[in-house]
Formats: sequence, C-alpha cells, structure tokens
Amino acid sequence: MGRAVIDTIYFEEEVRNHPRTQSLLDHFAKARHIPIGRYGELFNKRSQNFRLQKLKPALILAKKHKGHVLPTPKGFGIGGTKNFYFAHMLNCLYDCRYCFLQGMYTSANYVLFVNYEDFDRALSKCIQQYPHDSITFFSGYDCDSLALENITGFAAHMLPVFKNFNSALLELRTKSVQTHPLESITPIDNCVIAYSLMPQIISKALDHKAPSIDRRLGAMVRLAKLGWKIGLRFDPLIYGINWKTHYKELFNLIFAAIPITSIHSVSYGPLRFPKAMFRKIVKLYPEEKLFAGALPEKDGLVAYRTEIEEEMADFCQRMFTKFISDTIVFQCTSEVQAEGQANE
Amino acid sequence: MNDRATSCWVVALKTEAAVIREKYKMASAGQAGPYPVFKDATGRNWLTISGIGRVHAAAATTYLHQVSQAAPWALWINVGIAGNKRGDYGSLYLVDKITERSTGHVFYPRPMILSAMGRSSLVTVDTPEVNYRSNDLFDMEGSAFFNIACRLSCQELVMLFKIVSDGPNFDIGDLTPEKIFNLVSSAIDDISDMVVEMTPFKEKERGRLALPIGYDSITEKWNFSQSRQHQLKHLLERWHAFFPKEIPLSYLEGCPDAKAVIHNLTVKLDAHKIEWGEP
Repeated sequence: MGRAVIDTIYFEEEVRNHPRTQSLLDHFAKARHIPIGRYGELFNKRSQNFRLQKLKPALILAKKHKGHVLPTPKGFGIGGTKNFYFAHMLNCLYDCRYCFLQGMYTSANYVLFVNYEDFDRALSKCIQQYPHDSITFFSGYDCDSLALENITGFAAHMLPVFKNFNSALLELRTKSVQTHPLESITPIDNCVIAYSLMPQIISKALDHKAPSIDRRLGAMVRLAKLGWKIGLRFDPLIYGINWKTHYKELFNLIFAAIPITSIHSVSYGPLRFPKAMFRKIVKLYPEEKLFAGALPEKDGLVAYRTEIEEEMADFCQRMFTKFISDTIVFQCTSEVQAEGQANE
Repeated sequence: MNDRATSCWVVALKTEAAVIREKYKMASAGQAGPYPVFKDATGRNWLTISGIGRVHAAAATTYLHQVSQAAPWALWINVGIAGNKRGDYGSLYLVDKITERSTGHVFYPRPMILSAMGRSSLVTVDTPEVNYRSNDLFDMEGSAFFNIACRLSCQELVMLFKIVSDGPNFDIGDLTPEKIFNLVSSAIDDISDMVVEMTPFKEKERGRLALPIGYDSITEKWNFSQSRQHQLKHLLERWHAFFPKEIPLSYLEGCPDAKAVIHNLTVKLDAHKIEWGEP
C-alpha cells in the first residue's frame, strides 16, 4: 500500500534539465519518458476519464510559474490570523471517496512541480508581507503532503527551509505513514504533522488505498515520541448508523495513545461539496453509498441536512472538551474552492 | 445478439481490414453509406475502412459511431501501417503521443495496460513522409482518429497500433497489398490480446454509464417525462448503492403514476441511514 507504480512520466521541456527531473527520470528509468510543452495541455484535456486514470496514474513533471502560495478559503484555519496553502503536487496517491480532487480535475495523473525553490521564495515573501500576523501555511490541500515523499522528497526539502521561518506555522496534512524524513531530523517547532482521521469502519469503506487508521495512529505515536507536534483533523465528519459510537471509539483511541502535550490542534468540519463538483463526482462513482443518502443542496453547496451537521459538530465539540482545551479546537466551515482546471 | 458495438476498429486500407475481418469473422453490416462497415456475429466488434488521410479518418470514425450505435464505453482501435527511420520493419507499437504536423496539435493517448509491446510517438502527416526526420512513427490518420474517438468514448479507451512498414531501407513505394496483409497478420494476435486485456476497463465504464437495473421495467410500466426519466435514473443509482440485492419494482407496486414512483423512491432513499461496515 502507498507505493506508486509509475510506468509513464511526462515532463515539460522547460524542466528537462532540472536536477529533480533528471533524478526522477533516472529513478524510473524503465518508465516511458514523454516530453510535453506545458502540463495543462495534457492535464486539463476534457475527454479524460478520472476514474480509469486513477487505476494507473502517470507522473507529470512541471514548473509552477505563479500562484505558489494562495490564500485558503474563508473558514479554514487553526488559529492563525492569515492562512495560506501551497501545493507542490496536484492529485494524490490515495483514492478517498469524499475527496474534492476527484471533482476538481479532469485528470488523475500526478503533477509534481519540481521548482521547489520558487515555493521557498514565495513563502518567504508572504511572511515578509505580513510581519505582524500569525501566518499558517497549509500543505496537503491539492495532494497528500507525505504520501509520495519517497518520490518527491518535498518534505525533506521544505522542513529545513521552514525552520528558518519561525514566525510562521507549517501544517503538513497527510494520511501517510511514510514518516522517514520526519524521523531523520530534529522536530521543528513551527511545523504540525496533521493526520486526517475518521472511524476505522468508515475509513475502510471510503479511504481507498490509504493506510488504515491503526497505522496512521501508529505513525502519530511515533512522531509524537520524537517530539513532533501532531494535528488531528476530523474533516469531513461522516454520518451513518451509530456514528456517535464510532466517533467516540475513535476519539478514545486517539486521545489515549497520543500525549495531550503533543497535540497541537484539533479541527473538524462537515462533508460539503460545491454543487457542480458533487454532480461530477457522483457521475464518476454512481454506486457509492456515501452519495446515495439525503444530501440536500443549499446555497450552491451539497451537504448533510443542517440539523445533522449541527448535531455532529456539537457532539465532537463536547467530546473534545473531555480531553483537551477548547483553545486548540477549531471548527472548519469552509467549502472547497470552486472547481476548475489547473491553470496558471 | 447485441448489435451495439463495444469494440470499434478503424483502418485506412482494405488489406489492413482484411486481417481484422478474418480474425473476428466480420461480414458486411449491410450499410450503404460513405464508408464500408463490417461487424462480427455478436454485433460487438465493428470495423470501417476510412481510406487515406485525416479527413477520411475523422469522417469514417464518426460514421462508424453512428451506424454501430457504439456504446460510450466502447473501445476504439486504430490499426495501421506506419513509417519510421529506425528500420525495425514489422515491429508493432502502441502509440502514446501524436503530433499533427499541419496544425502542431499534440494528443496523448494513455495506454491503460502494461505490456511488453513497444510504445512510440506518432506524427500524423498530410502527405507520405519519406524523409523520416525524427524517431517517431509517421502515418496519415492517427491524430484525426484519436481526436474524434476521444469524443465518442474517453481517451483511456482509445488505442492506436502501428506496424512499421517503411523507412530509409524499406521504400514506401515498394509496399504491396500482400506485404501489408502480412505485416498486419503478424501483429494481429498481439493486438487482439491487448484488446482482450482492455475488457475490465470497458466493463468498469459500462457499469458506470449503463442504465441502472430496473430502469427499463419501470419506464415500461409507467409513463415518464424526459425530466422524470432523468430523476428516475439518479434515484435508481442511489437505490442500487444502498440495496444492491433488492429489486426496486417490488417496492413500487401500487404507485398510480410516474410522479408517485419518484416520490416513493425519494422518501425511501432519503430516510435511509448508511450502516458503515455493511458489505
């Protein structure tokens, strides 16, 4: 689980000689290497089938020209006054059925932007721009931060760089148990390793190709022992028969295993999709029972009924207060960004 | 017998077609149209002969789609001879990049299966290429076929197979129908194996796109307007997601009309709570 089999690598001519491109082409020497112009000419094509492609994604190596760091949607944050996100990759190794990426892009291929140093500069510039704010940078919005780390080495690159940005906070959001870059360096105070979690029984049904909750918990415990700050992300909350029992069991399990002092923050949020994105996802997976229930549409968003959302939020909030301080619990109310092509 | 095509073959030459027709035992489909059309006894394999060039390839592909009523999950296959400068006469390639020389447009077919078969880029030209300027293959139909076939299915279900027929040491002028027949004959089993390997992907798409079970019997029993047909389709998809082993029709007995059918299904599905962990 969690290993990417890459049989085709497309690379932009512009990054052909980039050391990371060369290294990846060498690493996947047996894969077919195909030069392309700009990644959008391949990635944004309309006639692609996301579901079929997801069975065997190719890797696209590209250069990100602009928009390295972007503001998060409103309602997304863990206490900072300014929130930004960045994505060194588009798409994910995992195939979680509630993930907005499946409705966001027409392609399931992985795009890796190899010009990491431009991300470093953009982060630095952003910090300088807001000297009086507490800034949080979220990584793992358009991809999983660590799932393809063995290929990308992005975290290994970014962490030493971010260590110098001590006025800002970095969140690496993940479901991956591939923690080796974190285990080989001294923990960084201004970095949170945030794990996406849901009850095991629900995760088994929805988190395809992702490590089990037990394995994620094991990774969190390991990282906490090493001194890393851990974020717990219960977003989206998934409804069903006995949901309270399932979530209660999950919370008990997690808070018993991870020392409270290692927990940086907890956030939770409802299942929500922009209407057009939801339709696209349902068309891809009409047999998925997550989408078969009552999910009314309101103000352009598809979500559980308000009373269910509120009941779930209240329950979580009450449960969390048994274990941790309210000050580190955050309710995420944002919807994902509008669907669109990966454009620059 | 099901006359809806699920594998559509497009070739430029009669001799290329002859090999495929023989392999799949295809006979004339009896159409009197601009391009000859053939189909096998199952009605699932269809073939047309486009003639040479992009315009014909695009037109014939569209025509085949029309006459064969090809399913949106159909596999579209182009088989043909091509030139290259490598001189590996008779080699079979699966195409994964197509450049249309006259427009500069580039297409990226994405083979879904790992295979020992070689993969190559293809340049589609408007006049026979005799200079073989790059390592690519050269043909005269590929880009147009791919461009149209992707709109009729999806690009993951479109495949182009090219057999090297000419090059610096094999003059294109020396090609004869017999040579072409032999070239395609030597490749047809490998192509056919690959087409078989694509079946699970076709089936996956069929499962996604076909009308849900029960749709036909319900629309036969009650009269649905166009918009209610659409609602019904979506409700039945939801039904099968929740109750894969239950037949919806038995739940709908007593409904006086289509409106009541929609209402009953909606109420039942909206009230259903998911039991996670259920198979």
